[in-house]
Amino acid sequence: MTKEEVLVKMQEIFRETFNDTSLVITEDTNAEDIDEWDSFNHINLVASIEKAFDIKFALGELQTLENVGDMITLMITSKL
Amino acid sequence: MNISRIIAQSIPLLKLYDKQGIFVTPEICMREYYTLRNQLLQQYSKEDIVGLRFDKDYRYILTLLACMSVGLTYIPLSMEWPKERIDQIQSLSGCIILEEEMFSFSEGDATVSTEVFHNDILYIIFTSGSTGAPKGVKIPRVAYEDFLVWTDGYFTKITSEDRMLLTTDFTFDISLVDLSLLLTKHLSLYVSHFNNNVFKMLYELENYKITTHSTVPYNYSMVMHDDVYDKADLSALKHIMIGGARFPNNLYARFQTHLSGCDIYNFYGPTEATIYCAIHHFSYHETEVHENNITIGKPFYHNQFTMIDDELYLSGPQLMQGYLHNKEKTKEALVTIDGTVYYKSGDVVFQNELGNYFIVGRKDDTIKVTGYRVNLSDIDSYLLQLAYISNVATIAIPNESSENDLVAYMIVNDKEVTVKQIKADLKEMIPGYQIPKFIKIVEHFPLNNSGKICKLTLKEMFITKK
Repeated sequence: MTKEEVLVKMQEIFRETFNDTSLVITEDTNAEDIDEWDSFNHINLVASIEKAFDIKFALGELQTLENVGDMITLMITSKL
Repeated sequence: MNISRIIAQSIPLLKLYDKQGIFVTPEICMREYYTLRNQLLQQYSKEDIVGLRFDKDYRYILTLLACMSVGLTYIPLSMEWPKERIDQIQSLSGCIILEEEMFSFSEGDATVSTEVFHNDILYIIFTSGSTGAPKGVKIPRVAYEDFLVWTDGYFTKITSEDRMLLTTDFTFDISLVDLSLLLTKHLSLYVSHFNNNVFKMLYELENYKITTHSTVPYNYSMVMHDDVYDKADLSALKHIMIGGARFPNNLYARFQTHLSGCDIYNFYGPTEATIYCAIHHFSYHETEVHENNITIGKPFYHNQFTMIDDELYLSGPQLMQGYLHNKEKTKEALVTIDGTVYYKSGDVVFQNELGNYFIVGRKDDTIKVTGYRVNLSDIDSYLLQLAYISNVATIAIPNESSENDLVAYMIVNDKEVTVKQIKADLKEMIPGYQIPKFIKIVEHFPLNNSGKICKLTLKEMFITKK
C-alpha cells in the first residue's frame, strides 16, 4: 500500500472513531487538533487500525506514536 | 521520625533510574545530592520559599529530598505549566523559582553536611480555588513524618527488591507515595516519561518488570482496556495503589478478573490532609461496593473521620496548617469542634455496617478530571478573562474513564472567534487538565426560575446532542 492509500483508509477510521464525517486528516494531525482525541480514543484508534489493516502492533512500536504520520510509517513498515 | 535523618540514611541506598531507564549510580546520587544541598544551604535562608521548576527526572527527586532535608519550604511546579500559572503562584507565595540550570550538580562542594534551618512547613501545593486564584496548601513537616511512619509500617510486603514506576507529576501530592516508599523501603524507582501515552506506560511497566505502582484510576482504566491489556506481560506487578480520584466500578471488576493475584489498594485523601488519609485493601467481597461506589475503607494511623450532615470531616496530625496568605479560606475549611480541628472535606459520605466509608457525592462544584481537582467556577472566571467571552457556564459530564469531561458553554461578542483560538488562549493561562474538552458557543443560555443559568438543561443539551 502507498502512503496515500493508507491515509485514505485512515481517514475513514478517524471519521468513524470521532463520529465526524467531515473530518480531514493529514500526516501532521495529532491529538491537539482533534478535541476528542484523548488517551481513550487513542486506544480505540489503534484497535480500529489494527483491525482494518489486519496487523498487531507491538508495545515497543506503539509507544513512539505521536501523530498520523507516525501511524502511517509504522503501518507501511509492518506491512512490508 | 525525623525526615532529615531518614533522608540522610537513605541517600547512600538510593536506586534511581532516570527517564531513559538508565541507572543513576549511588555515587552520582550522593555527589549530586550533597552538592545541591550545600548550594541550597549557602544561597537561601529559613524564611525563603522555593518553587521547583525542573524537568520531571531523577534530579527533581534529589532536589525535593534536599529541600526536605535542609528544611527549605518548596512548591512543586511543572515545566508543562503555562507562564501565567507560574507567575500567579510566584506572586501569591513570593517564592524564588529554582531551575536546573541554576545549579551545579557534578562540580562543587559535595561535603556531607547535617546543617539544617528547619522551617515548620515542608511544602506548599497549589490546588484549584473558587475565584480563579489557586490556593496554597501548607503542609507541616510533622504531617508528612506521620505519613512516612505509617507507610513504613503498613506496607510490610514491599521490600528493597521491589521496583516502582513513578508516573505522577510532582505537582500532584500522590507522587509522594513513591517518595515515601523510596525512603522507607529503599526500592528501585524508575522515572516514567509516558506522557499520557498508555502504550508507553505499559512498555515501561513490562520492560522494567515493575512490581509496585501508585497512580490515579484513570491510568489503570486504560491499562485494563481489552485492546491494551493483552499487549503486555504484567506478571511482575504485585502492589497497585490507586487514589486521587473516584475508583470506577468497572475497574474494580477488571482487577478482580485479571489481576486477582496483586495486592490492590484504594486510597483516599485531600491534599489538605497530606497525600492520603484512608485506605482499603481489596478482597473483592460484596461489602466493598455500595450503589456502584467502591469503598475508600477506613482512616489509617492517626487520621480520624467524623460525619456531620453526611459531610466527611477529617482530623489528626496530617492536617494542613492552612492556606497560604488566605485566612478567610482557611477559616472556612478548618473548623474547631470541642477543641479538635477538622478539615471539612466537602465530600458526602456513607458508612456501612463494617465501618467502611464510601464517597457518594460533593457538597460544592469541585470535581475531578483525571485525578486533578477542578473547580467549575474557577474555570468560568478564567474564561471570563478573555475579552471576547461575555458569559460562560462550565459543566462536568461524568464518564467512566477520566471521571469527568469539562464542557464550557459560552456567549461570545466576537463572531470571528474560533474554538481553536479559545483553547490556545486558555493554554497560555491554565494547565491542560483545566481546559474544557468541549467548548460550545451559544446565542443564549437556558435560565431557571430564579433567572440563573440552568446547568441541568445544559447537561441535557450536551448529552442529547452527543
